[in-house]
Amino acid sequence: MKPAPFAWCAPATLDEALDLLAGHADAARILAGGQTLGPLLNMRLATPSILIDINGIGELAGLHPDSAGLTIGALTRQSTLEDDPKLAALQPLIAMAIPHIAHRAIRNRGTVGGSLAHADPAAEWPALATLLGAHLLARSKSRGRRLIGAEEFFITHLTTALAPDELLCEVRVPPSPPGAGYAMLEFARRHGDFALAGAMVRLTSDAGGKLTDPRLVLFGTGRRASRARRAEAMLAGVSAGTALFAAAAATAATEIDPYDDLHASAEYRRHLAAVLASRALEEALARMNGKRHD
Amino acid sequence: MAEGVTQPSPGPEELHPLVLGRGRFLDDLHVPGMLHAAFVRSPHPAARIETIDAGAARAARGVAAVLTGADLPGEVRPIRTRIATDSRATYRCTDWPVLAAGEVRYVGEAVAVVVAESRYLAEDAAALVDIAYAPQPAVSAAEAALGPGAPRVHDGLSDNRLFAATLEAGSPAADPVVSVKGRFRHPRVTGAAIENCGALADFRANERELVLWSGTQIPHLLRDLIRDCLDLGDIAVRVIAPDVGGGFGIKMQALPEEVVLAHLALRLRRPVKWTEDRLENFLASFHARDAVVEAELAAGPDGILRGLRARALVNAGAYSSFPLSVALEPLTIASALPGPYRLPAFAYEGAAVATHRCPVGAFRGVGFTLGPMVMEGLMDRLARKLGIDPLELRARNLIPPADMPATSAAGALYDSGDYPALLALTARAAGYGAWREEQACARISGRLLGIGIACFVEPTGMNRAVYRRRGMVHVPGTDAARLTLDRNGQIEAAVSTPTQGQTQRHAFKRLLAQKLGISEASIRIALGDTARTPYGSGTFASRSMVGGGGALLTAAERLEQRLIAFAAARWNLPANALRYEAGAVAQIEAPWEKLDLAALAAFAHGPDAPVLADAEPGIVVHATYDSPITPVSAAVHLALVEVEKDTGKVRVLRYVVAEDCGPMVDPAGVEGQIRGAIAQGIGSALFEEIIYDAEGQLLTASLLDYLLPSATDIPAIEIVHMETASPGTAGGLKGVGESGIIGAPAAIAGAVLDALEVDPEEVRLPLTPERVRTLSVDAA
Ligand SMILES: Cc1cc2nc3c(=O)[nH]c(=O)nc-3n(C[C@H](O)[C@H](O)[C@H](O)COP(=O)(O)OP(=O)(O)OC[C@H]3O[C@@H](n4cnc5c(N)ncnc54)[C@H](O)[C@@H]3O)c2cc1C
Repeated sequence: MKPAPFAWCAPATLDEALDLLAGHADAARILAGGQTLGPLLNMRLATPSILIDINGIGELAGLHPDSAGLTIGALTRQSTLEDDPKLAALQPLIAMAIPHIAHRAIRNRGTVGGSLAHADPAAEWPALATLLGAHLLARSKSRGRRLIGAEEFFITHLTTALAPDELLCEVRVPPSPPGAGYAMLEFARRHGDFALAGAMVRLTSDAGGKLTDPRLVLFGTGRRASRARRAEAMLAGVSAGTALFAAAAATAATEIDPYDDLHASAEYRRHLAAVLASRALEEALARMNGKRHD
Repeated sequence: MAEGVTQPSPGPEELHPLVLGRGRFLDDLHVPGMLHAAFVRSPHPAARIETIDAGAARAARGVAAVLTGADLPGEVRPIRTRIATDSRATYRCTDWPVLAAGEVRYVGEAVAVVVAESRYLAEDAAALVDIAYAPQPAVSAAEAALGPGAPRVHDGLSDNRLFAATLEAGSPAADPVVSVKGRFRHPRVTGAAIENCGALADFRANERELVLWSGTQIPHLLRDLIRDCLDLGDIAVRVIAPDVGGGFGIKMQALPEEVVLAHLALRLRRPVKWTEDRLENFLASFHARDAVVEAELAAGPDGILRGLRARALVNAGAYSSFPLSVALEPLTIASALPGPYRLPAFAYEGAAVATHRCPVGAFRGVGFTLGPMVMEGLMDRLARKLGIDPLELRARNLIPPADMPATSAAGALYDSGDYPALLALTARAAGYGAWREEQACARISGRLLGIGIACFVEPTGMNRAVYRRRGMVHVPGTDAARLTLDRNGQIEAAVSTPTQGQTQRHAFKRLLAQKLGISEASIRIALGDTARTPYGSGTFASRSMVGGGGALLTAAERLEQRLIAFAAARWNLPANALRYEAGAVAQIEAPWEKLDLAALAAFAHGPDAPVLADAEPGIVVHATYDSPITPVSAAVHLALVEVEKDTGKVRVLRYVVAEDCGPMVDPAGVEGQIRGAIAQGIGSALFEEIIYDAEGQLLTASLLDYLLPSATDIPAIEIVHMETASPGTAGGLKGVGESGIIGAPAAIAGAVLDALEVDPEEVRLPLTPERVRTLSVDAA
């Protein structure tokens, strides 16, 4: 478990990093928190000839809230978000999700950009970005700046729309709609493991109590986190209720394409997806109605 | 310190360097000029090796040597583990080449070794060793390996059965009985110590001494094996176990790699280190268990047991491990099945079969874990069938104290204990009645609670007779201690049972200080070095307190005699006019006339020291201890779990233990052993499983896929104690190293099935959420 030889360079500026990427795109890998890339290198599953270490590029880290929403730099550590007292008010769903990402020691190093760029279908960040309608800013020498919608960004298992010479620089999350109720539930074998299945929900309603733009994302249940569009359509414009949620959850579970692995069969994942979706819808409703404050 | 927050006790001082990062584990050791080894391992479960081209690897940067099986001279012999069987057992020896010889038999088997200036360079070069394999049909599951057309793992053998034994005792009563049966499958698991295995070998030419550092639990037996495998002539072998980060039985087997390292150091005349990484640990260190037991239990209508019939099949992997062999698991399951119960009849057949999987070895609890998993599982079934409360059913069948010492249905001697009292103590400590009420209430509101019970015995510190009876000829069954009183009045106690972090130093110090009536500060404990400690079996099978402790107590008595002899010389009095008491020798007639340890040490090393007729100058005594009996500890576990109906997730809510491991030398150490072993038992019950596919490919080669329980999965473990001294051992001592893991899988599995109210045809651990959900769906 020792990596194959590689060259290491640590650009101090974004511009330098982009130059390096332009010069070595195919042979290079970006090193952010290293929590995923480190093991891949050690097991020689990744053998890049050059590592571009972006940890010294200060401008890539940090939270910037403004009227257009919240911009999070790619190099922002998960623990920075976890410890930020403003986050729960700005983006409740992100605040709920962060503690489920691995363990604190990993969150101390692991970055938002690394998580998004790695695009694990069971990871929380791709699901968050998808549900919240985030945009991801990529930069490169050849293409300049590209703002990519989350649903176009995540293509499939471990595959994104990033070109080899592109660096993911930030994720932009639109403001949380007033009165939204959120829920995020996942089922993992142990706390901190990647989820066997997870569900995220955002509910908002109009003055008459009808659901507007309901969002339901399932993750860990297919090649990428995805919105359950048909279930969302069932819920849109109607008054919420538990019976409806069960039906919508059952529909959502037909919209996924789960896989078998060592830890769960596809069938069990589908079952979990329905259970979690239904519970998450109820929780989100309770929060929207102000009946739940945790 | 915040108010109301109690600080956890810092634990014995012995652990401080380990937790403060000041330990010296194998990988911390550096010998000048040291090279690093990496092994090239088979990707195939079964294949012939056609050709190996190591040219590119030998030419790679920093490479000192590349060896394959063909490069080993004839004097590097395979590991051959012998068993002396009697008429009720058959055993076939397998030769285990230390580097594959023409053929590979499991994924991960070492085929070549690359030695280079760093582990990085060794791994770079290892990737260049070009091996052409001709894959052969492989067999992965034990049942398949017994099939008529099954590929044979060893060509020379007529089938894959490496060991088989039968046992029959008593005959079941003929009157009408009820019976229950089931099949119980324990997964293949491993110890997953924080520190993996490894070895560092160095040939000291001047001393003609080959030093092998290894995290081994059996320094002396490993030394024996190295001598058996290599032609060493006048070269001495010294094995040193430095600080060791957990052994759990896995490190009581000798690894072929250790033999290779010893050979390399001699051959290259340079020190060579190999630090096993986690991937290698999963591929090629020892696995354990992988057993299925089919059993049927018969009883009278009152629930009184009439007889047990059981058949065990163990998937032993490709080779028989040293020193205990593949016989270990089937033999231990046999002796464990009757548990603490009166059982008039017992019939058993056990077999270990070779497959194209990594060899199995001992892991904490060995087959003892299968005992309660099966017996307690059947007891629960019987209780449900007869409508008797499961705790009451057990109470009716436990061996009563009046029967002690008792002989179990498997022929084992139970020396002492009050099992019914232990069960009652557990029930009281847990509030068993209240648990049942809580369970009933929860059920009304749709929550599924379950209660699991495990009553079991733990034979500890097995003596020479047990190893001779089992035919395990490589294990002496004895342990030994040497006490040396130095010039300054300090005692060095060297004991043959090394530590892997169980704090034996602390416990041994206490034991000796109490025995001799001196302060712990005047004692130093030396462990884990064959040059410093006397010959003995090592640390495994809960033996270090019985064997090592027994040797220490015996040596202490000899030390007292020796001190008296020196005092007699000093005073010119007969020895029988003196006695040893509380750190000093006193004159019986004039008890105020005393010589303490320091005074005697100064005298014995001073200019007036006598040369006693029966000894050299100085004060050194030695004792080899063969425990007169194998003392049997006992415990009861009660687990309360909640099963989430729609996901199958199991949460352990309460876990209560009553333990009787005899007099506790170090209560904190005892509880540490129990807690740690229960955590591992919860691992086997709910999380851990080494998975091979049907072709013999390993699917769980990292801690991402082999799930160990984490802190949040382990409940607070509540422990109460009884202390029944053994009538047969020095100090009445018993062992406790394995207890927790013997009971936990049974208690957890029992609790889950109790929650679901099901008796599936097969109970298969680990009870993953998906399996639990399947059980509950099938039941509905
Ligand atoms: C034990 C364990 C448990 C885990 N559990 C979870 C979990 O439950 N949920 C979860 O979401 N994650 C989990 N993770 C993954 C963890 O969050 C990862 O660290 C994270 O996904 C990757 O972030 P990183 O900063 O470490 O990226 P790195 O490891 O440095 O990089 C990951 C990949 O992304 C690329 N990359 C990184 N930054 C950029 C960028 N700015 N632009 C373009 N490409 C980039 C790298 O080249 C590499 O291919 C777990 C990890 C471990 C070790």
